[in-house]
Amino acid sequence: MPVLDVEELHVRIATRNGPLHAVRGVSFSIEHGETFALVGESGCGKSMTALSLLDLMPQNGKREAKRLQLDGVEIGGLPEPELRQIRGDRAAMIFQEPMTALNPVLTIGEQLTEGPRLHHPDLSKDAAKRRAIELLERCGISQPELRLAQYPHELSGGMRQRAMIAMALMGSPRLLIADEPTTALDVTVQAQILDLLRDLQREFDLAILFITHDLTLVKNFATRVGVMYAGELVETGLAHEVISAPRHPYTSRLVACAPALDTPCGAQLGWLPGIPPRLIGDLSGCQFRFRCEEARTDCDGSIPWHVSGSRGYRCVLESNLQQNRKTLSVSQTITTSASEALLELRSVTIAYQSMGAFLTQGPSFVALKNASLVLPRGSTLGLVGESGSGKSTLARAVLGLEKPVSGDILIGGKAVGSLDPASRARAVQPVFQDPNASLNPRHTVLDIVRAPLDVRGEESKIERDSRARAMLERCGLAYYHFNAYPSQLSGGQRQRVAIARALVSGPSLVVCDEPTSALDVSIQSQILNLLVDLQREFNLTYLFISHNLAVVRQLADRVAVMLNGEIVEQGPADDVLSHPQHAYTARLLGSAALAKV
Amino acid sequence: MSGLIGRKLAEAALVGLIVSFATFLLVNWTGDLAISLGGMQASKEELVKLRAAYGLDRPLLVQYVDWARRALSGDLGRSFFSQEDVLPLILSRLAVTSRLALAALLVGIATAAPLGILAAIYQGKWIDHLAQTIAALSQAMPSFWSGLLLILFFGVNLKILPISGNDDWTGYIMPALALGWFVFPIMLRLLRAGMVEALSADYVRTARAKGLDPKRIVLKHALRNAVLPVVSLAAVQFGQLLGGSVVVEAVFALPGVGQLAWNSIQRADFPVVQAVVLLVAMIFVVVNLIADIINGVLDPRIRRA
Repeated sequence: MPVLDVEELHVRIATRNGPLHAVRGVSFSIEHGETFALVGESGCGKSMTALSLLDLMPQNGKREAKRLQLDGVEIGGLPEPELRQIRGDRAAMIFQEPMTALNPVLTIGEQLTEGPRLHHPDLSKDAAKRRAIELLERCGISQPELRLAQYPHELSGGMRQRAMIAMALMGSPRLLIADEPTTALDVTVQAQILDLLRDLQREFDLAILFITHDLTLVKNFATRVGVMYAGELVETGLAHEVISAPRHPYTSRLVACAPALDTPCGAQLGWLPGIPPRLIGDLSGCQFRFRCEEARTDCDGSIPWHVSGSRGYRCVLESNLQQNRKTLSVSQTITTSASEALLELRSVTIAYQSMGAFLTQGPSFVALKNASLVLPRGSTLGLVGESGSGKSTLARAVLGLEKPVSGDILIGGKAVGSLDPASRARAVQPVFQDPNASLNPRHTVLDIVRAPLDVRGEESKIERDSRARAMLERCGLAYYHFNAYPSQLSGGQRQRVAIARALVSGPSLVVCDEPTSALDVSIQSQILNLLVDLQREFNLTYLFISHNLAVVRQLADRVAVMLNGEIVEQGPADDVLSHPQHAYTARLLGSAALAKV
Repeated sequence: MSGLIGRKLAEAALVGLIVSFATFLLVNWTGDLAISLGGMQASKEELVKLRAAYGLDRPLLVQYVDWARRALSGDLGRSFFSQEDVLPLILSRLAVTSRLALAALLVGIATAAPLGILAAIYQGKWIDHLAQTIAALSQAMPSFWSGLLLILFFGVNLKILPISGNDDWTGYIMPALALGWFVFPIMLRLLRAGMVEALSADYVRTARAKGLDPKRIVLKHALRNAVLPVVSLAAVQFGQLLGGSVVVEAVFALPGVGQLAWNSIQRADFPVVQAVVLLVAMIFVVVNLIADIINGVLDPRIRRA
């Protein structure tokens, strides 16, 4: 008997524009000790499926299912008070962002023990505390007694997620629902958390429902996988089979979009144009047909569910689709001849003075230590390292936003500090991680992109407008986006606006600070492809910051690895990533690969 | 925590210094203190004598340091007008106003808290609209007007409350309602906004996933986060009520500090003005300190800073 058995699950959310059919007839089951992964782009309904199992959808959401059984007991029609007895006790959840998922004003101990003490009134405070200590220790947290009295902000990101996992185990769950549990974590921490989950699964015989958008994780962590698109399961099967030989066109595009560690530099990633449909109104036929290259006339009819062995997929095409990953030949990679150095850092050190009491100076914090690097024109330097390693400080310094305590930063042979703001803006431009936060929400797209030209004020308004429009079109936006506000665009479109804004003033150097880490994998590939194209076209030089080694591998000719404010290793991307010299680089690569194995 | 308190007390001292010096300069620049002492008809010789007697002929800075030194030892001087000692005069008035401000604040909180929480839980439903409508109404209605309405209804028609004075505690009921009515809308909005945000926060989703009941989720998990800005606001409001209750004091004929300040400014009664400003500023700082301490208790993230 499976731990979780779901048949024909539907979730509808009431919206202004009518009911949004977020989950459409999803069926799956999970056995003891098994991990089932749900994958897909944002908005495909995977998180909604997870939340709906315990009826945790937003207030305006409604759930229906032909069968929804936990351990053989139907829980679909249970009234709220009885469901509360199950939540956190026999089925527990962990979430993506352990900082926001834990209550900032309650101690770890309180948050761990309150659930079990509510579910089991006979459980004494001391007994609950002892169990909490035991589980924190089991989850790899040192000094567990001390942690009970601490608050979430006093723990590191990885520790918070461990505490979250311990909290989920405080009941005696048969089912653990993990909603993107490692997405917000650094790659090394990610590997540790996955290891921990694997161990705990064995020890507690857990069935795990694993929600993720990361296919690499699925391949290595999940037994079986369900690929979701537009609220439906479009393909299911054993994880490694589905990923190595996808049958549904959507799965194969998704696989092709994800850069792998072995993708050669400069290669084009697979291309998945468009965005998923909104799930309001008529949803008959295959919803992927609008983005599918192989769409036929009968795609808008009813779509059969093909089953063979453990595999199933929903498509009119019955033939075995082969993985049609479009890897362009290596000849298309950028050839970097020995051109002159555009960016040069000469032992740059940056320190922050913390403020002590009464306007005195506190201890200083060195964010960047003796950093030196040379970046030839037209090439890309990938800067990798964990959060807090000094990547962003280096980027800010190159943009002239931080003043080094010592050392020189030269762009085109001139010190950044000596450039006036106008010439600096012409030399170097940024593209930031979160276009939602970095674009002014009250300005239209055209205003945003034209702004750098307005500041310069060299051309007439008509010329400036037409240059901004041309750049927007070059970056893949249509005329009807020009007067939109950032909030009306998708994440990928916003990042295109940010790129157009950066390029419109014709800089030679572009600093990209995690430009795709807030994006879905299909959108990420579109943006990365755009960056590669633009680099060729305008002979751009990129300083590309990322914690995703696969992305760096795809884009960068040179790689620099940072640790605690120092560049510990740098060199050609192939050398550094294939034969790391520094132990830390090896560890970083190991963690990324561990997620693969 | 003790570091926080020490730092805040030092801040209070600095604020007191700046505020008293600014008041000192303002009073000296806007009028001749000797004239306000001797009266308009005083002769030149008399003014010279007065200046010498009160030390007004010395340089301003010397005068200020002298005043500050005595203020530190608790001697705030005597009123030019009534010749009374300033400190007891103000303290008796301050007691009236503080009681009024505190009562008004309690009225505001007691009405805004339940309504704000309900409005956030039932966002967009009738109770939310009702709460917002009441808030808009109370904001549109000046407190002297609502005070007059209260007097008409409870004092004149029903005759159950005294319409003026502070002979016993019943005299504070109507003024506190009138001022509390003024505090209510901003408290309601802030608490509602805070609760709406808290209720949609990830940690509330976690609390639901743990199987907690709605009461615990709202009162323990959400409210504790939402109440933090309300505490800070309450402190600011208290300070504003201290200085801004003069209108309501006039309507209800309450002998409060607002009235005293108003009269003293008109008479250029320098020692009283100076002392009122100083004490109100001090109370403001202390109340904010209390709010910071409460927030420190409620929010562990502040405690370490």
